[in-house]
Amino acid sequence: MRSTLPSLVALAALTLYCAAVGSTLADSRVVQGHTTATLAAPYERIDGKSPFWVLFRLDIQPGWHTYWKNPGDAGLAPALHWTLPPGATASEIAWQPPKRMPFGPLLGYVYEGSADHLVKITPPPGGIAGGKFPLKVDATWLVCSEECVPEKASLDLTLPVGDKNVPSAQDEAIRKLLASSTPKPLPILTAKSDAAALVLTVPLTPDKAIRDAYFYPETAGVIEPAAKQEARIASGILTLTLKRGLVAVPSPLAGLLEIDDADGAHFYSLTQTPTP
Amino acid sequence: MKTLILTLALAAGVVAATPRASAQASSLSPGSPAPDFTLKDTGGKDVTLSSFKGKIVAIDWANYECPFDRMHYASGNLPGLQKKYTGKGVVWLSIHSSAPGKEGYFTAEEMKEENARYGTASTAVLLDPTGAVARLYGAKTTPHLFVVGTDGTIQYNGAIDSVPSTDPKSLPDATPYAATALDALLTGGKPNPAATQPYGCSIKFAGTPGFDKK
Repeated sequence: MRSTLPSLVALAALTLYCAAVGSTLADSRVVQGHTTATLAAPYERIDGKSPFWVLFRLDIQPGWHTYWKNPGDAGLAPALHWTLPPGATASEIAWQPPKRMPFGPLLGYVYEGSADHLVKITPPPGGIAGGKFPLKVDATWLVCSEECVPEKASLDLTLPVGDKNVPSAQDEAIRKLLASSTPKPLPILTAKSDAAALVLTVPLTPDKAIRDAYFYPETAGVIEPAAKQEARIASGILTLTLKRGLVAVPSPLAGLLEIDDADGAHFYSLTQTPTP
Repeated sequence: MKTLILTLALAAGVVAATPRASAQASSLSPGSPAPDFTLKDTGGKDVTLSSFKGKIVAIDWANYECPFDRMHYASGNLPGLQKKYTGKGVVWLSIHSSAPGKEGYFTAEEMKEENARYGTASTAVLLDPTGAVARLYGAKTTPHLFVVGTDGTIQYNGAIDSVPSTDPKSLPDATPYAATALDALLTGGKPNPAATQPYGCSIKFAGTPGFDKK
C-alpha cells in the first residue's frame, strides 16, 4: 500500500482505518480534512490485456456531502485525471445514483457517507507484457456541509501483470457497484420543451403504486432541480412535466429516473434516440 | 390544473406527485425585466436598481468565504472586472446574501474591511442578509452574475466564466462569459451566450441545514 500522508495524526487514523477494513495490496488511500480517498482495483494481479473497472471512493465525514456529475443548483462534481501506461485509456466515471438535498430554495444532487466512482481501464492494444501496470489518478473534489472545501489527492496503484486476473478483496464490492451504476435503460419517447416546461414521455408499467418520480438530467441547468415534478401514468406511459431552467435542452437528452414505491427507490437510465 | 392532473392520475390508478417547497428558485430569462430592489450599502445608504435606468448594470452575487468566489476575488479577477467596466460607465453592484451566522455573513463594518482586503472595486457593495433579493433574482451560487441592459431588462444570467473551479490556474483557459456579455452590450451587440449555468457554493440562505459559524 502506498499513501501520501499529510501528517502523523492522519497516519495514525489511517493505520486504525486500514486495520479495521482490512486493506490489501490492491488499494491506496489518502486522508483529507473531510474525506478519505481510496483507489481500489478488483484484481491483485491482472492479465494486462482485458479491461477492468477500478474504484475511486470518497468516504465522507458525517454532515458533509460530495456531488453527482450534475451537481444540481450548486456545487461541483469530482474530476479525475489519469496517468496510465502509453496506449492505455480510462473511461468517464460511471456514477452511482445520487440523493436530493435541499438548501433553502435550492436543491443539490449529492452523496452522503460515501461516493463511489467507477472507471474502466483499458490496457493498450496488444496488452502489457510481464512486469507491472502502474495507475495514477490526480483527483480534485468539492466537499460541502454548510460551507464548501476543495480537496485533492494523488493516488498510485501498481498492479503486477501475470497470465490471468486474480480477484482482490474488492472484487465483489466493485461488481455490485457496477450493477448499481448501470440501471435498467428506458427510452425517452418524446421530449417537448418551451421556455416554461420540459415534458418527457417514457414507457413504464409499474407493478406497484408510485409514490414519487424524479428525473435527474445529466446536464446542469436544463431544469429547475427544486421545482415540483408532475408525474402521471396512463396506458403504460409515464409523462413527466418539469420546470425548465435557462440552459438549452441537449439532444439527445439523458439522465436518471428515480421511481419510489412501497419497496423504496428504483432507478432507470433514460436516453433519447436522436430523431434523424 | 393540479386537481385535474391528480384526478387523471387517480383515474389511471397511480398517483405520483412530489410536494416541494413552493419557494423554489426561479431564474430570470434574458429579455425579462430586471426586478427592482433597494438594499443598503456598507455605509448604510439605500441603493435602488431603478435609479440606474439608462445605464448598464452588472451584479455579482458574492461570498468572500466561498472557495469559488474567494478565488475570483483573491486572484484579482473580479476586482479587475469591476475596475475595468466601471471605467467604461457600467454600474457594478456586488450583493452579499449570506444570512447572519452563515458562511460569508459580515456586518457592514466588517464588510468594509473585507472589501478593502480583496480590493473590491464595485460601484456599491450591498447587504441582503434576508436573501430576499437573491430569491427575487433566482440567484443560486457565488459567484452568480447578472447583467442588466440600459432598457432595464436582463441581458445575461449565469456563470462568471466557463470553467467551474476554485483554482486560479483555470482562469487563463476560461471563456469570461460575464465580461463577454458586457463587451457585447457596450458595443451595441447582444450577449451570446445570454444564459449559462452558474457554478459555485450555494447561497447561504437563512434556515438552511448545517452548522452555524461561530
